[in-house]
Amino acid sequence: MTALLDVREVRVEFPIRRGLFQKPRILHAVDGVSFTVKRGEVLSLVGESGCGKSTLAKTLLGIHAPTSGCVTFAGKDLKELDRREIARQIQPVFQDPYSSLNPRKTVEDLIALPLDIRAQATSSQRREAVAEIMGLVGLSRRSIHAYPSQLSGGQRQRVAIARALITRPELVVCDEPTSALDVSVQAQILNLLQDLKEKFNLTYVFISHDLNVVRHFSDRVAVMYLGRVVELGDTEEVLGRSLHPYTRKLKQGVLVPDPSHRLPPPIFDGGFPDPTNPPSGCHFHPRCPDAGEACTARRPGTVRHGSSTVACHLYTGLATGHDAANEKLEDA
Amino acid sequence: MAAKRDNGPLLDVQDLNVSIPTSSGELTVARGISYQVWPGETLAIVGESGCGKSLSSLALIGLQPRRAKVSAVRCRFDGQDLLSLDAKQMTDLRGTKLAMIFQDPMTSLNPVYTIGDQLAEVYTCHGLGTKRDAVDRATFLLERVGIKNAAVRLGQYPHQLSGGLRQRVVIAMAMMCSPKLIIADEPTTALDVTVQAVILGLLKELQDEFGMALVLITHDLGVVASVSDRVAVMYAGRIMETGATDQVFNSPTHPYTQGLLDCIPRADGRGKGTRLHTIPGMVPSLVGRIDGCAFRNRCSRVVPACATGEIAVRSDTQGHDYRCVHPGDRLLADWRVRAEAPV
Repeated sequence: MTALLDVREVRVEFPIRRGLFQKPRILHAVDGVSFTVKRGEVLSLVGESGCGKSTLAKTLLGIHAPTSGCVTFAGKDLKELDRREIARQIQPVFQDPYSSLNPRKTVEDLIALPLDIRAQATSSQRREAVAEIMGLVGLSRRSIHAYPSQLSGGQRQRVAIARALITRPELVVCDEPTSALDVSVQAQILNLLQDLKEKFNLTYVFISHDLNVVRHFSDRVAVMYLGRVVELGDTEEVLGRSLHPYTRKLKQGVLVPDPSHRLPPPIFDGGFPDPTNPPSGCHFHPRCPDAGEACTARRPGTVRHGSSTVACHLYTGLATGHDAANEKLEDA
Repeated sequence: MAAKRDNGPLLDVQDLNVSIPTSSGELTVARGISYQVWPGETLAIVGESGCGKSLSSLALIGLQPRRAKVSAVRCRFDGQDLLSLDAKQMTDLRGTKLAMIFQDPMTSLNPVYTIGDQLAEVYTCHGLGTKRDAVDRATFLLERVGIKNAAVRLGQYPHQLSGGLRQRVVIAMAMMCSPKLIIADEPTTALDVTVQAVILGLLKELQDEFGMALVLITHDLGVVASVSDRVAVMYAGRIMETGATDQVFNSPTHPYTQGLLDCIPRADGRGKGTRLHTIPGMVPSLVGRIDGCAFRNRCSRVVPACATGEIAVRSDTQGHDYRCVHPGDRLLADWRVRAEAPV
């Protein structure tokens, strides 16, 4: 089966102007990322703020064009697709339903917006489509003429999901869809996303910083650090065995809702590096407990390990020789 | 850290009511809230958005909206009655003995003043010393909260700092006058996971070193479990359950607390691909009276007794209180069976 989404060596760069007469610096927001997503699969992107996961999401939605590399969706290069065609098949759900919904539009108009843009539905079709999708996402009909300010956070996120699904897209890019919500509402929205996925055979690219949510919800995970994917594989592999030192660090930082786990020690001493001037070689080396000489000198290539791939010199055999890498694996 | 209980509680709140008149009626965000904070301990107030956890704490220090009505049987902090203080006395108290840390360090710092000016102001405006002393103290505290090059940072503006650094500045600011109590409202919600543990660790460290008490307002049960000594679970303006953190997490007795804990995806990946437990329905409106238990419309164990009158607080032997008509041991036994069932 071919992949629904194929992201190959994608780079997204932004010039950052520091002053009027200075040469702009280049921010490599996404720096050579490759992965595929199969139909019906959930791929999660995890990493700290500034790691490029949201830029990557916007690239998948056709909002940013990749500086180089290509994104292929259902066999077609996104560059060759019309913006509207992309929007019909790939839809976003954003983090904050307080800012992603126009406060001056009613629920009906918000949800019908993708239909209105295509201007193909008659008013009765439009009404029916809105009513149907509202039922599917669990919004009561009474709220059809409500404004976002009259809705709770959970209801707003349901409106955002309804709007995303009204054109029956194949891929939904969810950028932190539950981060702004309370735990009980988060559980409702995650269940809803799960149900809709099964009903419409949807594919999700799911961005989250909550590793528990990611572990529950996704089939595969890509861990990103400063624009690069450092580890990619099946969720249980990546979050269970965790080959890359960065993934392990991220896991240590998770606060467990169990008082027998006390507060984890600080994961990193230093701050997040300046993304316009990233460290040489492996970007992670200044914060890495296992960094060796090779790590400062060369960017690690991607090595396949079981069902995962990992970009780390511990596994390329360059850091401290093959023995060290094997030892690491046994530890894991 | 073990709380010192010899000299009575530092903060003693009894039957606090806070309501705000709105066009659609009186919005009651605190309905008879009572709790105590002992010197040096951490009390977490946990609850979902709109349950009144922030406003009830802001009301203690006079930061409620102007129209709000605040009343309490008792509201004592360090020997003073908070509700009888006039504006000037309250201003003197805030920042000196009692400090606040807000969620978003971008909005709680003034963008047009340097870090140094803002830190020093806390000290000088309370008349604790000269500008020079203030700058010395600010430098000491910035270093203490883990900011390198403190002297340089003092001359910088908030936008030149990352979110984690800004929150450290806010913590340093709260520490300027060595408060006895810090109220921290979602101090790590706006931060990255990797920074979250660092900031919480820093707060705990400072707390141990300077013996402050901490009231931590949060909706994140992971944060609560990691740092608090005691927990109060709030729902619709009421405290539903309160007890030592271990008790509340290991033996949650109120159906709401149990429901909240069940909603969290499991860290071990168990239950993957299955549906998460949810609490059906929505938070009730806080406008007007709520008769009986506010949670009853969402509760799976509702009985006719839940609908009438005030639900009395039950306690077990170890200071674990809950507001439910059902006996706690039975609630707990059933929850254990449910929680341990194979998924």
